[in-house]
Amino acid sequence: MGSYIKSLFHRDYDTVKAVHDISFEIKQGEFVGFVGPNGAGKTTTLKMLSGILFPTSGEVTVAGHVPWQREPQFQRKFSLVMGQKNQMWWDLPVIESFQFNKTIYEIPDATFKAQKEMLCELLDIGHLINNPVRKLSLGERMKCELATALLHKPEILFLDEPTIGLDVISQKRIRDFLAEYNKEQGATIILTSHYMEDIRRLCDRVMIIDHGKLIYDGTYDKLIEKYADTKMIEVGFHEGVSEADLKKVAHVISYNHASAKLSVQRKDITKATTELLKLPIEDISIQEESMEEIVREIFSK
Amino acid sequence: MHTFSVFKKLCAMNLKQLLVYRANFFISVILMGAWVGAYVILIEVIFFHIDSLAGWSKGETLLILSFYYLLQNLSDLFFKDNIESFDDTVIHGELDFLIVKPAPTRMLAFFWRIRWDQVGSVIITLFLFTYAFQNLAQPLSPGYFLIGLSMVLVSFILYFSLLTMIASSTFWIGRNNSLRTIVFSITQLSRYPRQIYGKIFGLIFSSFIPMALLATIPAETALAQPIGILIAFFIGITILFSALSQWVWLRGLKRYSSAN
Repeated sequence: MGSYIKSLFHRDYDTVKAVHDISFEIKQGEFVGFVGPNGAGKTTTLKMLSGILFPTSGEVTVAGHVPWQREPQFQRKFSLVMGQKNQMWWDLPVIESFQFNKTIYEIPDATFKAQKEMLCELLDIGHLINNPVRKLSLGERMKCELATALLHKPEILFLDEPTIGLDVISQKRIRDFLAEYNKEQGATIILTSHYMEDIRRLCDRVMIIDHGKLIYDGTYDKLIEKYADTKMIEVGFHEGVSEADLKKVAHVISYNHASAKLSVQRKDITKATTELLKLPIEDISIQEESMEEIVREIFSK
Repeated sequence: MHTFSVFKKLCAMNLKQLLVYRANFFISVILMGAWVGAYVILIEVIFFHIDSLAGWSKGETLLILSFYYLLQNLSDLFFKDNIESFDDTVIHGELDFLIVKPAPTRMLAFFWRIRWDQVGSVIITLFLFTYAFQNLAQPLSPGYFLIGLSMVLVSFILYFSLLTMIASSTFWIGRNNSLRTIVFSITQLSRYPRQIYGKIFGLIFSSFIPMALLATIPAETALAQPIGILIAFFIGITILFSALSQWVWLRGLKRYSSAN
């Protein structure tokens, strides 16, 4: 309590650089994923790219525009969707938010009609657009948010955690839609997500940010090559195998009498598999480390 | 043209919202009726003891009160709610989606919620105008009354500029509800004739914080009083405050830090 009273008269300030010394270029039509822990600077970067934030220094050009000059010609070229924030009119049917964006973005009638039909079909929301936004489930609302944001056919789509809080099926639907939209419309999509599955399935390119700095920029495959020096083997047994036997072959992540999960150095995978096949094994599968595991590994170094 | 289309659309969207919650409309009519009624009783009590207030008769004072309420009704209808919640809008990062839209952010921010339920209050104010007309010694010229009404538009722009300038301070100081409350309190000054404030306070409330002019100028114009220079001054400071308010807004917007 004392410190609060003291802070009325005297405060010490620390300057935290949310984003520092980041440089990159994104080609038209690329699908890029921003990955990083909470507070890494992903959302700040998106907000600078979309002109919400005014950086203290540096240069940014998006589609030939400086974002924070907030020119209407630029604003018509992109859309921003945030999984944690709703931008539709809460009490009104979804179609009203569509109509509102039609006016704001000056979408011609024919384009609006065609785009609305296409989005309703792709997202399967035709039966929802006459319902008030507040009556929709989280998954339905996110699909409608996406449709609202895409009515003006933006060239660039900034997505901040679009699948947050959604169940697995809704996540997959959103993912499938984004993949198709990127492919069909050639839109550039920049995505932040905590779900590595989003990044793995969707993004041609992954950018890992930590403490406001870019620590990896490349393809998903190269990320695996560079940081995932182990693979995961899952084995099922038709008769008992002791944990000690497995430990002779690989590092045991989890074990029970019927199955086990092992981690093996990439270079030792053939040797380990050969050894395992000598045991009473019913089935075996070899997988790459999960994206979560790789990122955790990067940040722990 | 596009700005006007967006404004029209905001009006339409808000009207549809009102129809969802129509009880608000009836509540606002009752509350406004009680509020105006209380002030009319106050004026009646004052004029029971005196014949004029700083040279203004009862009917003329009621006319100032009518213009004051008309201005209040218009601000309640169009922007007051948005101004009252503006610090929350900024602190919670809700300005994000308005900034990225191809329409003037200031208009979207301050006209986002239009309170059509306040139309009921305008109806009460029209009754107040009728009561004021009945108490005037001489009937008003319709032409001058219309000019008086057009002066309310100038007052509206001036009042909007002053309030949005104060609201913009939230970009620097965060929560600004204390400052906002003071400004809303000072607004009360405009319900009385500007002449009651004397020289020093009259100068302050006519130029630096020009609240004393907001209702008096429309009333004096409607009463065909010779205040040509004062009208020119009133329009001049409205342009000045409007430009200043826009400048403060743009400076503030550069400091916007959003929220996660």
